[in-house]
Amino acid sequence: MEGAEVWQIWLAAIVTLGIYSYLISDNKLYRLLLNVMIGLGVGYNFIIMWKQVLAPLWWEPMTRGFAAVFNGFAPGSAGALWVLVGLLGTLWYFQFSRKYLWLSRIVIGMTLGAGAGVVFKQQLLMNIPQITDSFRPFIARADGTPLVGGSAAPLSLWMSLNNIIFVGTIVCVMVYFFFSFEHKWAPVRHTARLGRWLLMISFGAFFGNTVMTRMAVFLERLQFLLRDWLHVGGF
Amino acid sequence: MAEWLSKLQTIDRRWIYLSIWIACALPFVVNIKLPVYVSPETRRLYDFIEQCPPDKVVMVDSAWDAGSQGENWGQVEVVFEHLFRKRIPFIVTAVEVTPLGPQFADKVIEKLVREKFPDRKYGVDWVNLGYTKGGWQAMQQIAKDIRQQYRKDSRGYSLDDAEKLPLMQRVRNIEDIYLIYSVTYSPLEDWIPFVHGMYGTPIAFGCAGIQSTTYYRYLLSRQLVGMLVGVRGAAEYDALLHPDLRDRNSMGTKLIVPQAFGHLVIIVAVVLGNVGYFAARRRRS
Repeated sequence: MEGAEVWQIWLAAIVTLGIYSYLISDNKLYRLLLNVMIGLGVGYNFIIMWKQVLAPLWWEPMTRGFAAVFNGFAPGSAGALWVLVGLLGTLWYFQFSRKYLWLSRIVIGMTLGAGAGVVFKQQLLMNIPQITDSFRPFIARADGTPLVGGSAAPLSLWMSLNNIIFVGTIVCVMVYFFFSFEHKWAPVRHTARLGRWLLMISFGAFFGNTVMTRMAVFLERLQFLLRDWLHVGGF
Repeated sequence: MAEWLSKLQTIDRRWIYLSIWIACALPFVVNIKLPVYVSPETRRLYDFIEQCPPDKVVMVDSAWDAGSQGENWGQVEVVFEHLFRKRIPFIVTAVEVTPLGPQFADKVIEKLVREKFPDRKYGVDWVNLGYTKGGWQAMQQIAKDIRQQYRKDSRGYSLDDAEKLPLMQRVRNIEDIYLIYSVTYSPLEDWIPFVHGMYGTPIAFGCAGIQSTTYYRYLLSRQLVGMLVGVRGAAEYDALLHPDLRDRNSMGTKLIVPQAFGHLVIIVAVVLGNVGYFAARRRRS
């Protein structure tokens, strides 16, 4: 907020307190501010989308292309073909028409086809390294390489224990998610139960991180209210 | 006794809110410093940036806004400071998530230039390319030819303008980029398959604490070179930049002590709630 005008700070403080008033109870000021924020966000996004994305990447090349076409097919006329992209995009809006709904299906089909192809590639590139990483030596050196055929790093008890816990957790959790047969056999039942406990521990970590994030959002506002608005502290 | 303890389960939540307010406000009023211990994921990012060769640039995908500035401000602030200090040029952009990202990054950079690095120049030491849309397509376009995705920077200068943007004259595609550091509430995982997976370019994330559990697996498999987690990550990075506690003044460092106090109240509230639960159970039995 450095350099901000006094009225800006006051306005931001009032809006912040108005939003926090929800903690006491739902009220009209909170709802008003919420709607103003949504409206501002949508309006701003629209302008930025046009100025920084659509205009330089679509509108300007297209209009330059048409200018070249009208200039006797001068170099750069191919830019006029961008109009086809705009027409294809417009087909989405036929979702609102019962009569011409089928037109929107053309572009939906194209999007789905391209999306499916991309997701296939994405999953391979993202998850194959994850799978290979889950094969870990139980007796490991300090850098994670195996005892036989590894680097010159010294043997590490800590790394070995880490790998055993890592692989053990994967096995236990995967056994828990085998739903195609009943967990009657004792080793399967106990492994699945351990898997469930390990999952609960990870959910606890999720919750702890959730608290940390919510707290950080609040602290930034608290700092603004105390330091920039009320001029208290200043550390 | 059990009856009294069981009432701990039904404390009015507004008392808890008030306790958190007081606990968190205290470190802002009274100067309290606590030590910070650096985690491996933070140190890995720091070390990686330390080794940046002189002919490369760092790209910072700064796609955050007011909603997550409590965590993300500090995360970009410390990395920008590190880059300025080492004179590593960087490019700022925001891919997909929020169009406000580049503006917030500008605010952080302006503050750093005003307070610590007055000789750093726009166009030479950093360039802000603004917001772009397209997700994985945009990432691939940046990798193949950055000019196909961005024609102008956020100030309206052409990327080919050698006078205004000399830095951009040596940035053509992914080969000129040493690291992509994506900072937002929840960084786009598409950076990993479509840039790291295809071109081998190192990726680092700065994310909200709540999202970090999803990304740790990429650290283990070395698909991420490092990660700053919430306020903690920002404070840890500041500790690496400034070993002396008195020199630290980033957003992360400012918020880490109030956060510790707030967490303490939450832990006490969880313990009290559990005491109340067990007391009520004993009373029933």
